[in-house]
Amino acid sequence: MTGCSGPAETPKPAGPRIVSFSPGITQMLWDMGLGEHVVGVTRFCRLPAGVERRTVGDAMTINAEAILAVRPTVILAQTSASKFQGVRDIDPTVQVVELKIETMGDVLLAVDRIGRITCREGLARKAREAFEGKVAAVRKAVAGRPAPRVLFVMGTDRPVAAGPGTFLGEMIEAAGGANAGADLSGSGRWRATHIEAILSAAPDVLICQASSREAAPSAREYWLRWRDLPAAKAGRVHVVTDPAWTIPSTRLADRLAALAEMIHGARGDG
Amino acid sequence: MSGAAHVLSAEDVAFAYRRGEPVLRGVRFEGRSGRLTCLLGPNGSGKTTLLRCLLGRLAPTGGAVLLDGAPVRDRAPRELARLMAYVPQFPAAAFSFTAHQVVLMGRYAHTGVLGLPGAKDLAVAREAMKMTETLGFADRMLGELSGGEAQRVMIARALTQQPSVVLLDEPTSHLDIKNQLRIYEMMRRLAHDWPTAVVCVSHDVNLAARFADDLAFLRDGRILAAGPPGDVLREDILRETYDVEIDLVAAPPSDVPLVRARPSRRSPISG
Amino acid sequence: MGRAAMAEAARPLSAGRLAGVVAGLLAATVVVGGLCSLAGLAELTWQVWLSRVLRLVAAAAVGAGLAAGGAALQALLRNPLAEPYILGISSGAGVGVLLGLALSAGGGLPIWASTPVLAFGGAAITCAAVYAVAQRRGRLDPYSLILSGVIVNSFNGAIMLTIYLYVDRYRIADFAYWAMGQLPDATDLVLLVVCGACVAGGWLVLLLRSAAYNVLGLGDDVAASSGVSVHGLRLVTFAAVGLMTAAAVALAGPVGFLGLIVPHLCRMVLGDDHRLGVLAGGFVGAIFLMAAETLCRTIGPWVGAGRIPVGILTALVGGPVFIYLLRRRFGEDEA
Repeated sequence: MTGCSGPAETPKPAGPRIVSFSPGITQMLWDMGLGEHVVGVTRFCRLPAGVERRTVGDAMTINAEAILAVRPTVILAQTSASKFQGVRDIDPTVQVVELKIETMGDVLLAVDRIGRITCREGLARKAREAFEGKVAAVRKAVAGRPAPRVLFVMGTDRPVAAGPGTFLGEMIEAAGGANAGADLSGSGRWRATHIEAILSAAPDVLICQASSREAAPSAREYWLRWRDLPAAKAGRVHVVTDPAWTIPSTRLADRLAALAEMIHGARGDG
Repeated sequence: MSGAAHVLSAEDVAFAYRRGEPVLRGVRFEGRSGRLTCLLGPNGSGKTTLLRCLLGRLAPTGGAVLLDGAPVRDRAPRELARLMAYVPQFPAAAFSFTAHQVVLMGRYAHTGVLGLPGAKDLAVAREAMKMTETLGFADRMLGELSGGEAQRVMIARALTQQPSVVLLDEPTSHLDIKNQLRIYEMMRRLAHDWPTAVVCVSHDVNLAARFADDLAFLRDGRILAAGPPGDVLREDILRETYDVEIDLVAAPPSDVPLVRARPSRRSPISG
Repeated sequence: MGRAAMAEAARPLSAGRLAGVVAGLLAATVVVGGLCSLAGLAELTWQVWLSRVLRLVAAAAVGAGLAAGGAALQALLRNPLAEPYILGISSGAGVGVLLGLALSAGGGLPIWASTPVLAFGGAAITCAAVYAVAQRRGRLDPYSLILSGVIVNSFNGAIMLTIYLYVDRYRIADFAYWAMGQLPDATDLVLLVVCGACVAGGWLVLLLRSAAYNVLGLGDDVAASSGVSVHGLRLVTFAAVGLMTAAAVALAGPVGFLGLIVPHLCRMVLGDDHRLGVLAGGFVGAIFLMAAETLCRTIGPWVGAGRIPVGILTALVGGPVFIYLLRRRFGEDEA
């Protein structure tokens, strides 16, 4: 690990030069206030309005030269570090860090780690406190309320549900619900499922992530049609279209309040 | 061209593709240097199978095929190629080569690893093409030649192997009269002049009878009769072989009579 | 073929012409490789140049292996549509890699079981399976070989679809990218040496038999009586092409169309003589893939990706080229 203090011996520019290979990590970097240090992102990363950064590829098509063209000091990714061996073969001083972000706890650990790597522990601490604060506020607001069964699925045709151990599963629990996804068969965190299993799981609230804004109305209609679904009977079907719902990052804390609203609020309106 | 005499013989050769269905049942057959031997018989008599056994492509289930007393199956392919050559019924090539290139392929057993032709190879090829009168279209693609021309190229190719025995499978079945005559004359010259042992599976009794030194009649996997045309061209032998009534018509000045099949009584053609 | 090319192809092959073709293609390979090593996005330092050269050598090995293998296979099977993957090798490698991805999700895999090793292993096992299914008393004939390859390919496809059920979508995406055929970003030196040796060895074996392929075109019986051991030739060619293709797939995944198209292109210029075809095929395949890989790396950023998998380019180019060749052949037949 590179030292954080002491005079610079090599003529490297001040501050880290970060390349982010994951949309979630990109979001986190901006949330932590490290946006100015980001020199390269993937084409799937969404940047704040008015901000531009060089696209250096994506996790599936790694080109060492494209990455090295922006002269990074550290690469942050959610895939195995061995994929970036080509970069390290040419310039061994580049640090490659694999961040596993599957749960809310992972988000906080990642924030801490990024703070350590970039020698910006202060920013990391502030981001952590903000995150934990928002989560605590929501927990307090829903304390004592009965916990309805909640299911979060992606898509309608071949739905994939959030099982236990996913950040969405944890968010559901934190927002005062019970994750019905835990009752679906399957061994992974994300469970490919089908309508009959969903009917058996009988969620009281169903939240569906549609592929686009245009697809949202038909997605809602689809779920409402299944009259045997408690959520459909009560009209408590919510459709979200923001892809950020399934990208784990510090934004999860912001979404928690909206999630609590959907779980405990009145009839959903999409 | 070889000076010594060579004999290709089938000794009681039996062969079955599938158990219990014998195609050849004890064939005794011989081809000698200096003689053109024609193998005749109806369809399904086992002519092609016998030819493939003679070539060494099939292993007889009984008996053996011997070349100068040694079994052909015991020889390595390259060694056998220098002794025996084959001309197929239809000259077909999957790839586009000129007649000259095809003829040179016959030198495979004589040349080195990449088969690059040396002076001797080119000379032998030239001789062979001269003999088969194919020099004129040496640089034309095999696929562009007429049936007769292509067949002569294939014979030239076989000759470049400098074999002692040449085996041909119905070489003229698809050719016109002129080319048929040409090929049979060539085979006779080959047998007598070079000299080689030429064994030819024929479909036409009369052509074979005119040019061959020996005829052999095959029926149901057995040789019914073998010998010079004068001896074996008999009505009873021909009837037994082909299962038709035969008329032998004299055709002076040749000693060999013409074979004419007599149509069955049920046929509308009379006489 | 052009008139001059036809006239040249009509004369018997001489050692001089062969040497000339080798020298010319070797020079072209080195020149193209050199030019490609100078093209890229990063500033040219020794490390950058070295990393490019290694990747280009890998590309050359893959291209040569697939193209020369394709040429030999088209000769052996007397079928211009043959190419190395009909032996089931690419699907076998796919099963190996996918199985590895699935198992690595559950428990860890041993270090040596990397993607290239799994690909090579899957390819080798499938090759053996195709042989076992197609052989009759230890011998191979073209028809049963093609049929066996088709069957084994389909079966492997079914196995892969079954494995999909147990694998998460990120690994499926990973596998999908592998299956497009691409040279890895970092070149493993040991892998390169081993696979390079397989390709070089296999190529030499095929070259030594290229005269026999010519004779094989006259038919099995004529070839055998000319001194060619037909059955031995089939076995050795199958084994050599299998080895070369397994090595190529281990290096770069299943890069398509090269094994089919390059032999045709060489035949158009040099004629049907396989002594030239197998030789030239290897070089032209190497040149083609080196250029394609370099192109993919430079175009990549334009379309937003880090790089384009080279298999996409060969397929996109290969398709239209193949259609053109086919239409041209129809035209020649009608003429």
